[in-house]
Amino acid sequence: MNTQFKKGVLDLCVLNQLVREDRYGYELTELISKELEVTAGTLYLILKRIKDDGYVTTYLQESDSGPARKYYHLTEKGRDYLQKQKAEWLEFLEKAGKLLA
Amino acid sequence: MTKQEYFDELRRKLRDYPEEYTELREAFEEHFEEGRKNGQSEEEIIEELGTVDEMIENLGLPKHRADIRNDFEDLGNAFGSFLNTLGDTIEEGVRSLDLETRLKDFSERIADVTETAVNEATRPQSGYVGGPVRRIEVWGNAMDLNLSASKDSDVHYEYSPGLTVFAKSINELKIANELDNVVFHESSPSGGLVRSSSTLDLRIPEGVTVEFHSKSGDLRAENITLEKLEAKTLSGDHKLTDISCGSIRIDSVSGDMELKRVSYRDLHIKTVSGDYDLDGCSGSTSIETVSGDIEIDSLQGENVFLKSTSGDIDISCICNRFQSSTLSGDQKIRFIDLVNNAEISAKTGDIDLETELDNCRVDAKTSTGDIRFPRVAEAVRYDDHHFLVGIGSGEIFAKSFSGDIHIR
Repeated sequence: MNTQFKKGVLDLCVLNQLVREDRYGYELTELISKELEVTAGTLYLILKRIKDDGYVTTYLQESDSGPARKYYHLTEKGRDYLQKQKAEWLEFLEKAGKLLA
Repeated sequence: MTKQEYFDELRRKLRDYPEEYTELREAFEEHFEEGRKNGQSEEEIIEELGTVDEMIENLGLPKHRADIRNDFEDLGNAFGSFLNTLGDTIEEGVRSLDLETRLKDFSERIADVTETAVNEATRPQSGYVGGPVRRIEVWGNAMDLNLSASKDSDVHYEYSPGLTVFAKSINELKIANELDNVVFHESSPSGGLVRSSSTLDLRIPEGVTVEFHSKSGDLRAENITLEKLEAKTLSGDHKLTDISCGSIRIDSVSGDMELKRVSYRDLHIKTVSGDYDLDGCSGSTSIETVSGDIEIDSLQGENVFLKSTSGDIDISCICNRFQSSTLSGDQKIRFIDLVNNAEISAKTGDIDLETELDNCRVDAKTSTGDIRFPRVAEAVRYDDHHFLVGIGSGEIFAKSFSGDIHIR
């Protein structure tokens, strides 16, 4: 997929996976790279950026097997941002879909 | 690549961005752990994480100088491998075009064409000209002439053209036949490079006159009877064997003369530097040379005339009148028989005389050379240079300006 195109929507895809529940890095990257051709490294960088922007927070939680996991939690700010941007994207996709149909 | 190598690369390439490095390092450690639990190999996990370069690109961060240099090296290596590939491709292309075979085919075709052309240009040509023939003229530049006897009254010829390469034409023999006069004329290309000379073999009937004009062509004649033989050459050699001929005239610049058992009424040969070797010849003989040596064995002739400037003379003969002169050439003369008289002169050359004769009259003169005559003791001296050998009319005149006369 086109990199520029992908970049814009990847942030939203990551954020959207955190709407219902908090997730740890590996889980999150597996989810996304299952659908999109994007490396885990890139996704971790996105996670750092959206954390810096205040859309997510992280916390450590012990796991049943092995060391603690870093969990990502969607903030209110992130939720607002996602809602707005997602609506714009979906609208765009719908229009683009018509034009491409 | 191992996990350790991967982390090393990450640390090296992100050394200017510690915050990003720490974040990724922690995330990756955890990712490796989870992946391992999930049954993934290190290799698989590394592939999943993606290359460090890709991450840097995604970060939108300027690269470290060292990495830029690395990139240049990578680029250089890539270019090198591109050139190698290009070279291989060209080589492969050349091989697939089969240039080598084509070139070989081409060369073979050239060789074939050349061989055909050479064969054509040098194809012998033979035939005959019907008699009676009285006179034969032969003209050529580098053409050798071989003369031998014909069994009938016709002239049989066999012409082997020489090869001249890089010339616009080839050697050709033209034959003109008018009445009883046959002319063989070889036209040879001007310029070019002479690789081999032509040969004309003639079998001729008895009693004809042969005229030969050539620059470097040789003349060879064997076992024939001629009315007259005339040759004008520059450097061609002449070899006559067992010939009977009325008159022989040869003019040459540097050609050598070899005559064996040739009989003639008169012989006139002039050369500048050619040497002479006559053996068992008979007839009136006149030989002139500037620097050639004259060696004559068992000559039998009415009159013998020899002249040389610096060449030596060595002769044994039976003759009526003998005359020889040199400037600096030495002379060694042996009379088997001398009916009339001999005049021998030299300026600085020596004169050696030898004879078993009881009666002979020899006038030998040299300015500074020596005169040797072992039998002078038997001669009766009656003035400075006048000797009488034996009894009767045989005399020897020996005169020297400053040389010695040995009389013992």
